[in-house]
Amino acid sequence: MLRISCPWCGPRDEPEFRWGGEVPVLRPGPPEAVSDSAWAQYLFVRDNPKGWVRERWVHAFGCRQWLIVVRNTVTHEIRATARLTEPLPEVTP
Amino acid sequence: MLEHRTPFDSIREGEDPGSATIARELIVTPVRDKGLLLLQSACLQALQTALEREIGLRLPPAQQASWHGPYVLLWQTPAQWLLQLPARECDSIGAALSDRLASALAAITDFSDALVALEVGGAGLADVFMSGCSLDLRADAFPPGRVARTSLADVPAILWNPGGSDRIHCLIERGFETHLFAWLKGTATR
Repeated sequence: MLRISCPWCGPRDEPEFRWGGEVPVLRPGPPEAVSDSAWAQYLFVRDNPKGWVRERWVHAFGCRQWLIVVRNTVTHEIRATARLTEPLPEVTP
Repeated sequence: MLEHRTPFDSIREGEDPGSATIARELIVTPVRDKGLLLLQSACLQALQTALEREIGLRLPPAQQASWHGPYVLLWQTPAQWLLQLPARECDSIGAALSDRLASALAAITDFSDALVALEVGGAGLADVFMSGCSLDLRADAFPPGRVARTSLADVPAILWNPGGSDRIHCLIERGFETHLFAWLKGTATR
């Protein structure tokens, strides 16, 4: 089980959180100018790297705030967490 | 017409002296005659001023409670607080706070019927709660004034320590009351 340090509530167990996907995923636009392939890329294609990744999580059972988590997808080690209003943490080893 | 009775009704209606001893000295007492107001605002200064003038309370820091007389303010999120107050004052204080915050971006919502407040006490309290909650609720890790929104018995719960090492106040959604009572009974007697 992961132990995630919420920037507001401190360390909490993983079942209190919900995963929200990789970041950053930028919405292309304007809609009328976006091709089908670019839209499909935005909706369905993710990097899914082996190693360090930045993810969005929400503390659903706690303060209900969204946060950024830097997690290693191989070891599940968590290096940093940050509020959405803070600069994105680095992912390079 | 269906009659809806919850496990705590017999305590509320006076068939019991006021509390239920479940097992292993675990005592559950419904918190009576209290109302709840959910305060939401990103304008902290305006909310702070309104609270100080109406009831003499300051906004507590994250994961903390502040209290003054019969009023208790529980931190919920960075922009939400839960005010516990005498039920008879719920309407008047809610209206007074709304008036004071009329020009600020704020919302005051009566949550009295949404949540059930229980005081749980007894020697086995921490052990029972910690079997259904991932937080360390022993007295040294969960001191007086500490508030936590968390999961208890797989349902959302607000826990706070009103003082002392042998009691915790627990607020849960009213619909989970039966589940929580069954869980407390089953866990405490296991």
